[in-house]
Amino acid sequence: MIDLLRRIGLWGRGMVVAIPYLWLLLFFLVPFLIVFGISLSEAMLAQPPYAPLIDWLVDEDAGTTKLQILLNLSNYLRLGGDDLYILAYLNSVKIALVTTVCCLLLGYPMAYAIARAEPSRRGPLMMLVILPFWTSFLIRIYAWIGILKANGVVDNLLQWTGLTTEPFELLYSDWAVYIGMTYCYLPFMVLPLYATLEKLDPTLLEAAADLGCRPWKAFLTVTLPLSLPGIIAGSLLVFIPSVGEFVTPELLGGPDTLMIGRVLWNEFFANRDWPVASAVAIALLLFLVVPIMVFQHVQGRQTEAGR
Amino acid sequence: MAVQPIRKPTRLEPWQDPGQKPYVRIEKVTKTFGDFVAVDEVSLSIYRGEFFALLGGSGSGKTTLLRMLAGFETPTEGKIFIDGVDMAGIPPYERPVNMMFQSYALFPHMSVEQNVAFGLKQDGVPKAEIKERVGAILDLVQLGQFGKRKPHQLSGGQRQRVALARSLVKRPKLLLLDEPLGALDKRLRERTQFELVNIQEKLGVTFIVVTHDQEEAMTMSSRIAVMNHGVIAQTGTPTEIYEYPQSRFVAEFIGSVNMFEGRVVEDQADHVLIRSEDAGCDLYINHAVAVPAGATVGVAVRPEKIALSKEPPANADGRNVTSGIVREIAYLGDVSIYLVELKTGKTVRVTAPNVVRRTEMPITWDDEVHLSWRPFAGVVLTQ
Repeated sequence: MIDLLRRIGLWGRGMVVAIPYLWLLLFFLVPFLIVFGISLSEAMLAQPPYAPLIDWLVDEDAGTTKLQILLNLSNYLRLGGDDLYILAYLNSVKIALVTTVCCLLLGYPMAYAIARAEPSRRGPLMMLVILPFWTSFLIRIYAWIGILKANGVVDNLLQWTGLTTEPFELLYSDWAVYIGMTYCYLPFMVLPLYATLEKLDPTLLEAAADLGCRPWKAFLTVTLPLSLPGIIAGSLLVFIPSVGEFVTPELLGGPDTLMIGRVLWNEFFANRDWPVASAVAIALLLFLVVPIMVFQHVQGRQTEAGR
Repeated sequence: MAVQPIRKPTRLEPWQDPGQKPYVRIEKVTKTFGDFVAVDEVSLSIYRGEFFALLGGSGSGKTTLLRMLAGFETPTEGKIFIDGVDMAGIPPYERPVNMMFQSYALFPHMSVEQNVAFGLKQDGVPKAEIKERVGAILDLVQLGQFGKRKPHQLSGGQRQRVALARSLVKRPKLLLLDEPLGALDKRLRERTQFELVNIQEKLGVTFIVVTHDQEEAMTMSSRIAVMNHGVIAQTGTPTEIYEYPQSRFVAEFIGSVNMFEGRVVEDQADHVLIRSEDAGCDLYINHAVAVPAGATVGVAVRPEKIALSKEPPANADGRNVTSGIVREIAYLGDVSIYLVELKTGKTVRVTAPNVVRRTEMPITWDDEVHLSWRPFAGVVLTQ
């Protein structure tokens, strides 16, 4: 047995690589193909709620057996025909973009300050960034409800300082979604940014200053371009899960906060229309992940050339 | 030994001329990091057009001093004047100084041309002029065809020349070089030493170079300041530092040296006589020292200034002549190093050129030999 594995290169080093590959194959590629299959089938009231793609039709009268493969493309056509899906998609991209920009604007100074702190302080500071992960994500979102709701912390503070007299509610609005999502995804931005900024050679900034470059300009011409890989990695880490985000907009967003994750949920559980829901998921993947993969591929080539 | 570019004797020596104003004046500068005193009340004057070396081991404060000149560190006490202007409070980007970094600090995301043009762009130099000046300086460092490359596509020597070009292109009055040749191999280093001296003479820039390599300092500089524990041990021309070290530290740091302990028995205007138990003879030196008779002093004699012979020297008067047994011989090709154990137990190092072939050399292991040196060979060290 071992001999056989060895012969086909599946032993030792091959084995180490093969196990995670097998895992991904079983739990990501196979389910993906199943979802893809469902997206091409027809919805029906049954268990499971869709028609099988492949069927053996046995006609006893004619004495024939037919293999029938039905590919239903109408689910995809429906996505293009209904404004709801396009709007939800665009809105998701918008919310994800705003979240990414907010995370970048907040996360960059944080990562920069931590990377420039004394080496002995960097560890504890990074620990503080990761600390929220020790608490359940749901609990943290519920905490935000308490902060943002009418008569919540923000409202009380504003009324106490006299900035508003009317009750002020941030909850159930796009603003609440932005705040909640920026809060959730901030560490994913800070971590890769810190990693690149920490590696940045401080003598490069000294060299820039020595050549007559003011600190602010040195940041723009040296620090920023050299931290670009960190910015891209952090932005992708925030943007990709943000687009499909479901929990935060569901809990903090208003009824008109339309996001593709919610639409998906509705199709699956409220409408029990698995084929359309699958089509939404596949379309999301195609319109989002494929461009990002292409972008990353090009980026990877560029950094390879620039190294 | 490799051929060294020796400075022409016709060179001006501005530090000898009381009418000259120093270009860089360092006045009682002290720098402390917490409890650690990196630079301790250092005063120095460096003149226009000099190639000045700060020489010392690691932790001697030489780099800290250089960084204070560039403006990356602020002196805890004391003042620095460049061209008569007090540098206190002037940030690095407003100083008339450029620095070549030990790590070269080339911007990895910029091409060679962009790296070199960076400083000119900051000054708002017109594009056409930038192009021309960058081209000219890259030709000077023989990197004309490499302008479009990124730093990672260059060899160590090429990177070093890019760093030099980048620091020279702004035509600074003062160029600071931090271990400029540290990362290069020996052959490349010797070639670059010539290049640096040539460029410096061509452009007339004042160079201050930090190095731990005494050979590098001796080769390139007009004057050397030897630093030790944040203090300047001695300042002088390479010859002065080598031939007339003022302290034991300097004598031992620059080249190798034999140290004899002794007591002054005769101190005249034109000579001094020292009785040394160490050497096993009286040491006669043809310069006076300002110490009372009977004082204990050290005498430094360079290994190449001692002559070895199997027969006692003809004009021996018992002074500067001793004898011992050859314990070790190291053959280096051009010279051989002999370690001779004196009767007193002290081991003396002697270098002698290999005039004849190795196999025909008259002196070998365990031979009894006589050591002698001329009155000018020894230097009395009181510190």
